[in-house]
Amino acid sequence: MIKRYLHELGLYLPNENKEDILKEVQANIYDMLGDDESDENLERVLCTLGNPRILAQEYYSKKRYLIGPYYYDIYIKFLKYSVFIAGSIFAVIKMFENILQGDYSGNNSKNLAVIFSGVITSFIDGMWYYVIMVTIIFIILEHKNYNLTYDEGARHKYSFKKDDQWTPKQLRPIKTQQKYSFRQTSVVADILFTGIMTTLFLTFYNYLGWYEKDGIVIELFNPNRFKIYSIFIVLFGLYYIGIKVMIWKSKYPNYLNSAIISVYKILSFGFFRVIIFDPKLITPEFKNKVVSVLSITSTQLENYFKIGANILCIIIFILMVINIVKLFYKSYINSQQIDKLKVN
Amino acid sequence: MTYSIIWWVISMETLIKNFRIEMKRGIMTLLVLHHLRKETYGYLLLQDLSAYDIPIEAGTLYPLLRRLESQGLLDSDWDTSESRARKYYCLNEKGWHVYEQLVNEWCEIESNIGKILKEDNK
Repeated sequence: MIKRYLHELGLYLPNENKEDILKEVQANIYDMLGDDESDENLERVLCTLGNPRILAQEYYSKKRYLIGPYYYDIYIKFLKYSVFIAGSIFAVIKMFENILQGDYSGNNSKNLAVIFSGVITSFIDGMWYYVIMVTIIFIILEHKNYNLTYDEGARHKYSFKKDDQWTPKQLRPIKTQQKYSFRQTSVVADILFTGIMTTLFLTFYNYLGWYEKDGIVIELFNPNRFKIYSIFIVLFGLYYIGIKVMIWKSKYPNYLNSAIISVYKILSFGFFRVIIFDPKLITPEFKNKVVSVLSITSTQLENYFKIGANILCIIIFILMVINIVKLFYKSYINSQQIDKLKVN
Repeated sequence: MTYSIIWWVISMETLIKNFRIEMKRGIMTLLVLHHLRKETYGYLLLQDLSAYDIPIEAGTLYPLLRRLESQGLLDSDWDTSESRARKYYCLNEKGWHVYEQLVNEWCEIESNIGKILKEDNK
């Protein structure tokens, strides 16, 4: 139980002197136990020290008052992972609203600019509203003393309880896994999404294009050219699904799965670059339509497109390199962790 | 409506609780510094303070020692000569200086508050 307490305490301690604090707390626990190392006495001692999350917060020199130690980390994590989703939902709603309400018979570029700025504003507004709402909810939870508790035997292991008394029974079990793991929650959703989207894209690609009021459509992709690429799209889709299955099975990054994922990333980047710079992929009719809508010359369109595509490729390339380096770094840390476990 | 929500969020109970915590924290620092004129370790200090009927929670005292150390008021050293390693703390020069200043401040505050309360009770 001491190990579990120290483990949980370590999760919330500042990194710079974590080891020393844990060593000292352990020494203090043994001092407080004295000669009586029974479970009852140990439970009493740990209750005296209190919830490890609260204790860890005491070691930080800067206090966080609005959202207390029970919630601060969960609050920050919650915001970090969901604020962009909230912003995106607001942006999508705004986009549909603009499309449904707007008058686009003129087909001028001003309309696109209005939609774009509206979407960006809604995205930022949405994030702000969301942050404010979530903050208020957490302040209420804090004020009402609802604690996020863990109960190993309960059906729902984590629950909010209005209970100021922390007990060692709420300590979480120590995970003996490697430090970094793949996110498993979205694997099935990713596989389904990739399968459905690839199928839909290959089946209905000819529906992508410019729609006029009378229903005449100017196709975006040149069908003959697209068919050449379609086989590669299928292969990449299958490769991606294979990676997801591998992640699901292996759970933790290691050198082999990192290499397989890296190869996928490099190949797909190369494929994307070939596609985006292929002048025959987009139909000339579509290009002419864009030229007329934006009131620019075809040379200007090509130049803008090249600049945009190059910037996009550079951004994707940098992100890809960062991702690959991160992946191998995690594999390295995990391999060290495995060595440590073997030694212990 | 707005006022009632604000009143609900910042209740009287919370205010008193916060005042009490702030007041205790200031006094506790002085008492801990006082006891650290001599070298001692966390649990012994906890027992010493309890003997004087000054209840301080272990979860408050141990981090407080760390904070005082990081503020440069204490020196610390691990004693590994016994079967169980312990971390000993002691006031250093800066700590002594701060302690003496705080004692003077405390005496002055105590005297002034005593005067004010006596005058009000007349």
